[in-house]
Amino acid sequence: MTVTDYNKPLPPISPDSQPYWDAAKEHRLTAQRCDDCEKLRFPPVNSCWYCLSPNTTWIELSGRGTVWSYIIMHQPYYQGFIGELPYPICVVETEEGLRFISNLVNIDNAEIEIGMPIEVVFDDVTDEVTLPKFQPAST
Amino acid sequence: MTSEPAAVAAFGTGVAIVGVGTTNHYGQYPEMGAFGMAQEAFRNALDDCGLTQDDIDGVIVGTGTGESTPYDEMVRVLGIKPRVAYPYSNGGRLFGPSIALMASLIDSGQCDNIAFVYTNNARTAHVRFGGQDVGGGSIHPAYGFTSPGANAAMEFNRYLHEFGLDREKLAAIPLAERKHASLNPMAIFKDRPLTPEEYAEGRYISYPLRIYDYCIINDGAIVFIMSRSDRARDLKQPPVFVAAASQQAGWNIYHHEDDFEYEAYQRVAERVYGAAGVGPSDIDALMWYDAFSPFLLYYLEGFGFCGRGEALDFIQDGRIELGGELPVNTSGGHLSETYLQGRAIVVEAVRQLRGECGERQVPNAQVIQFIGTAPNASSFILTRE
Repeated sequence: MTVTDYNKPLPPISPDSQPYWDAAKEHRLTAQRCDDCEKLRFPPVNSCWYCLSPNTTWIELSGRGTVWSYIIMHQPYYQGFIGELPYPICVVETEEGLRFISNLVNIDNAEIEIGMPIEVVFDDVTDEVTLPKFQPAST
Repeated sequence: MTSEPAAVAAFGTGVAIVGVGTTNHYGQYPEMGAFGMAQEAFRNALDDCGLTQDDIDGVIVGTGTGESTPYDEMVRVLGIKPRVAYPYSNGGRLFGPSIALMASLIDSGQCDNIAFVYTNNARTAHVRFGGQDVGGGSIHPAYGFTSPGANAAMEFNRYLHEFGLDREKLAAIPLAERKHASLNPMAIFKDRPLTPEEYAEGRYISYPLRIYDYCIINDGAIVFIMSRSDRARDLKQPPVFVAAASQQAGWNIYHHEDDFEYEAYQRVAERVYGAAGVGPSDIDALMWYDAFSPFLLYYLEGFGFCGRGEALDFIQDGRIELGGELPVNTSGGHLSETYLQGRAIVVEAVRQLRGECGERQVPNAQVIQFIGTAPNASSFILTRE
């Protein structure tokens, strides 16, 4: 167990999501693809929710996408985030069409726009956990 | 040849809400626990309709978000021996479906008089809807994303973008409901008028939603009693009929979907309006699940009160206020009366249809609709004789 002063919530890591977090530690953004119907899905779960096939391959995403929507959080819900209020949270829409929650970094709140191109960056928050986050795309 | 199920519970005038009861006030109840609050509301509901404990042969117990109230213990403290008893989720999203369930139990002859009992001491129990306790299996807390309101804000910001709309027009909703609350002696915010200026300066909880766009968290209990209409006619109050009820799962505000649950609401609209033989223009008042202001926009569009992307304009100029074309949540709703996860706005609907609402009465109210939130998009229509 590594001693750390990181005091934000850590993601729960389950058998289904372990490969995602293992890849994130290697700074790769991944998702599951069904071997049978070839659809992508996120968050990780054992079988495909389109066709129920258990046959799955983890694939690497491009790491590029756009801001589908965002909010600016003003409420101090978590001790570890208080110093960063107000902070932005976005729904990323990846080039591959997946949507999920992340943080926007390296941008002022006032400059955030829905639809803006973004790219993944990896935040090694502890020795065990790396969180994929997003910043404005380099042109 | 097979046919699709109707997917709507259509009861016409066969099933009626005959009695409603609430705690004597809303807000904080440090003086008694959640069971005591349920007893107070049950006593008031029985007084309202003239039934006795022995008449109640069915019960559904919806435990709130505060102290847990298991259904078997509830049956004991209410002093009833029901033939039918079910525990029920506290989820507000499941409130609409609970009406169809109750009415179906009556309609199928499994019981004659069924009580829905809901009690919640969330305020006294210091319940929060975001933060450390709300992680579950989600990755969201790791990104500081938590609370149903933040999800509503995320969806609303996308909605604004999709249709190119002005965020500030949302003010019409909390302002209307605060006005209505000023006419309701039970409303927690009865004496807390809200001006457009105050709204505009209100602090953001999660931009683009302000504190006034969020429901209250408070204590209170609600009981309402449903009976077969042939029995209801002998009771103290005029019956309020459950004309039709329907729901649709599979669309979710938490899943960042494109259409703001439009298709789910459209499906439910088609079913309830078809079964009840009414349409949007027949609705005298709309009681809607106002956990957060923007939900009304998706309901108005999904149920055909206005076109897609038009709801923010539709709600302006007093249209949704008392005296307007479509008064909504005439009690003040979750934003300004009390947040009891949908139950209190049904009490309001019943009282409106009985003509008991005094200063806030909708003249000659005959058809009132409830709409509840995806992930269980739901609606039911209440009518009177």
